Amino acid sequence: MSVATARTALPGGIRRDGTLLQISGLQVRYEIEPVAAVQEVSLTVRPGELVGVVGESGSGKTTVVRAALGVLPFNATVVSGQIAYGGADVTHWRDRQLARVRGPFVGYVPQDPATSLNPVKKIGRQVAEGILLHDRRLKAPEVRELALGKLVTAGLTEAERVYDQYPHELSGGMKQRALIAIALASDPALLIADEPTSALDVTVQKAILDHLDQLRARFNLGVLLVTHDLGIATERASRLVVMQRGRVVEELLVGKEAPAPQHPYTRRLIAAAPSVRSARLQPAGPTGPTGPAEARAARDPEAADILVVDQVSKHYRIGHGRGAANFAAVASASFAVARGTTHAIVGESGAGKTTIARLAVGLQTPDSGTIRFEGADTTSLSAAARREFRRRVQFVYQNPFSSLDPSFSVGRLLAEPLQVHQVLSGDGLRQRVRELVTAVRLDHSYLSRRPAELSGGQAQRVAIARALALNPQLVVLDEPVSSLDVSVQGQVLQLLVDLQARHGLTYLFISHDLGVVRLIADTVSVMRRGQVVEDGPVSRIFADPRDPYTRTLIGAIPGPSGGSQWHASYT
Amino acid sequence: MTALTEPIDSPEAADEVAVARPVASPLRRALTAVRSPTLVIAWLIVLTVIAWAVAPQLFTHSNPLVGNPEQAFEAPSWHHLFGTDQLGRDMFSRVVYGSRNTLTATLYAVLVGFVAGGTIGLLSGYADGTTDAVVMRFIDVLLSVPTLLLAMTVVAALGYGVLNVALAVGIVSIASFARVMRSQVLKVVQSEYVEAARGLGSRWPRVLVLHVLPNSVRSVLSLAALEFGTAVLAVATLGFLGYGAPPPQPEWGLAVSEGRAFLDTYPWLALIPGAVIAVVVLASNRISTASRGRRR
Repeated sequence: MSVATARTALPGGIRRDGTLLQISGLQVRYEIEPVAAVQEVSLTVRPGELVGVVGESGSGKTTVVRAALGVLPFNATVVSGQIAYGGADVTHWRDRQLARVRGPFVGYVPQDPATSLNPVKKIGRQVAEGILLHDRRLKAPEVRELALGKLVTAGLTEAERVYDQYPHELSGGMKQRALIAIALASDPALLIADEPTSALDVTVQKAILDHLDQLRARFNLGVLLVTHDLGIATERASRLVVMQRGRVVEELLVGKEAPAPQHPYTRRLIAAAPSVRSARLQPAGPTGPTGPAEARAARDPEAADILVVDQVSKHYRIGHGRGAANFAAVASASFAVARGTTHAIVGESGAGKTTIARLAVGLQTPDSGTIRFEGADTTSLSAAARREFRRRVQFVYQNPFSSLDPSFSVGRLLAEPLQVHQVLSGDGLRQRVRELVTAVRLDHSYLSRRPAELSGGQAQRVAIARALALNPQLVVLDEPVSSLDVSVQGQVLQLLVDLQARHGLTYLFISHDLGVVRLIADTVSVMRRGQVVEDGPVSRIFADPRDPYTRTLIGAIPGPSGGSQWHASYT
Repeated sequence: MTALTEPIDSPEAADEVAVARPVASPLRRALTAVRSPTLVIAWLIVLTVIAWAVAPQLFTHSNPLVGNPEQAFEAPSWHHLFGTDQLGRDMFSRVVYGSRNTLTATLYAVLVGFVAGGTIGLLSGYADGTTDAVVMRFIDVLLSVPTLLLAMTVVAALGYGVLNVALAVGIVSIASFARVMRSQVLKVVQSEYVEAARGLGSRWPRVLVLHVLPNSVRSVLSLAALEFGTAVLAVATLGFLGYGAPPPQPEWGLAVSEGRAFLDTYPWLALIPGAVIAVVVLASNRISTASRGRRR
């Protein structure tokens, strides 16, 4: 912060000490919406303080951020309320005026590092742009020096190299650091970060958040952190603003001890946060006739494993011609899934989890190794046996909106598997479709809707119902809850557990989130770079992780370590 | 033990219903359409012309084929909206009745292009690399020949007449329909819902008809609207050159051709049918851009 002394005074009498951001009674309305998106929202950020804004999608948290930055979309208006920067009311400032304080006073870290950098400009130029905007007298070498300094501050140790690189040459975490460097370019007093880590792997997320925390302490920055993840918020924030449907329902102080939320919505959010829960979910409602998996395994130990993956490898060719290289997505991975249980595969992006899932359901074939389902090698099935295999093994994709045909109604989507396999027709078919939609706790009025008319959680339930239509034995779920809000996530996970108990299903559950895995899985394989680094029962992996990578993953789960006690006190 | 799920009517479930995505009602969509007056005018023009073609007798009482030689070369007036030609025939009546020939040919042309081009594009996009490559190189050749030349060649081979003109114009447009359809199919085939359908054990004709076709046909429909305008122009051009309906039948292109001889003395004979063609083409282009804009 050597240049801090040379800083010119901010316009409008904005002060860098005292309250940095004060929003009071803010109400924002969108043109066609009948209800205001944000109502009576008040919050303050002081120097050296990290304030978390928590809420689910649709709670208005992004609208608050946009209003605070003065970048509301054209169809939104501030109906009433006040936004003050450093003691000065900026609610009605024009864009040109605001532009002069964006950078020197308030910095912004956007959500998606993949799309927020200019793809055709070098990183260094993009940081330099932020510096030059507010001090045109600087000479080129000085700007370069400053920009390099910002990159180092943002935690990019090889700043010299990154300076001359394009965004596509950087990993997601490095891009997010570059964005932080840009936000810091003109030494702001206040940093507003909108879901800065939700697109990143857990270990990277931890590193970025740790770094933001250090910056806050080092420069006495005020940070407004918007997140849907209660674990992150409780772990990092000194104060927590909980939003629901455009209103602040509760403001909490976070200290050493667990906060004491009064509002039922906050309690529900905390109860639903996977990082705060530690025990596996138990089925509610009736259990199927098959009984617990252990009992069946004891009766017939030979048939205990429904799916056995043995020394499986899968390579992809990258590039063409002479420059082509072989990339091992999965390298000699082995695991077995016992009947009636949930086996989870956990790892970060690039670990080969999705490839494993696709190999297991036969969407791809392995280069070497064998996959046996019910004792039969799935790579050498006859046409008839393959069709039967496709009936007994079902796949649920991560994103229901891309895996459900947008032109089909829910009713047609659920009927399709039954029609393809000519299991039912006529009244029987209609009856079964209604059963299915009830089984995933949606009512019959949804049958005529299209996927675009459903929320994320509803659409994923439809995808699950579709997978169950043919009474499969094994359901492979590829990150089925990672695109959902926490409370919806909890509902879907519980639904999966209930369905498993009722129908004696076996799950192969792919996830990047150990917190979620702990809720649903019995056994787990931890994967890294195509290899299984550790596997075993979930309880053992959490109690006694043997591989250092597993330990890193567990350490990166956001939320205070005393999470389990927290949870106990809320239910 | 705690149970996270409540019965269906739990507050959480209610929350979720509340945030379900809004659906644009037909009324709302109609209202959005009204916001663009040019689009409304374009629709009015096209619908009027179609009404002419369907029931010309409702719009004019004059006979398009028989004129009154005493009233030859009358300028446009209230009685003869578009004036009269050298035989005293009412030009408005000839334009109204002529729309039947022109629009029928146009409709057939677009249908031929849409069905044939769409099918080629669908199969080519879904087929393996070699078949796709061979078919697409053939389409490239078709695209490289100037359209009018190709249309004239086809008419010359088939013989003159309105339907043959329609066929010729249709064949010419196959290439662009096939290209657009193929590019859409390539995108849809990559989607997860098509993979999911295959993974379910569906056979490929079922996937093609139920999943790929409905999801890729939309943009081809908006191309059809665009092609409609182009085809009106092409049909009129061939009519102007004398390949289409034989005189004394009324047809727009033919009308321009007949009026050409009197361009310096009685200019409306050529200009008014020409203007009608231009207005109809512009209107259908406007509709086509609107239909493209509505797609996500």
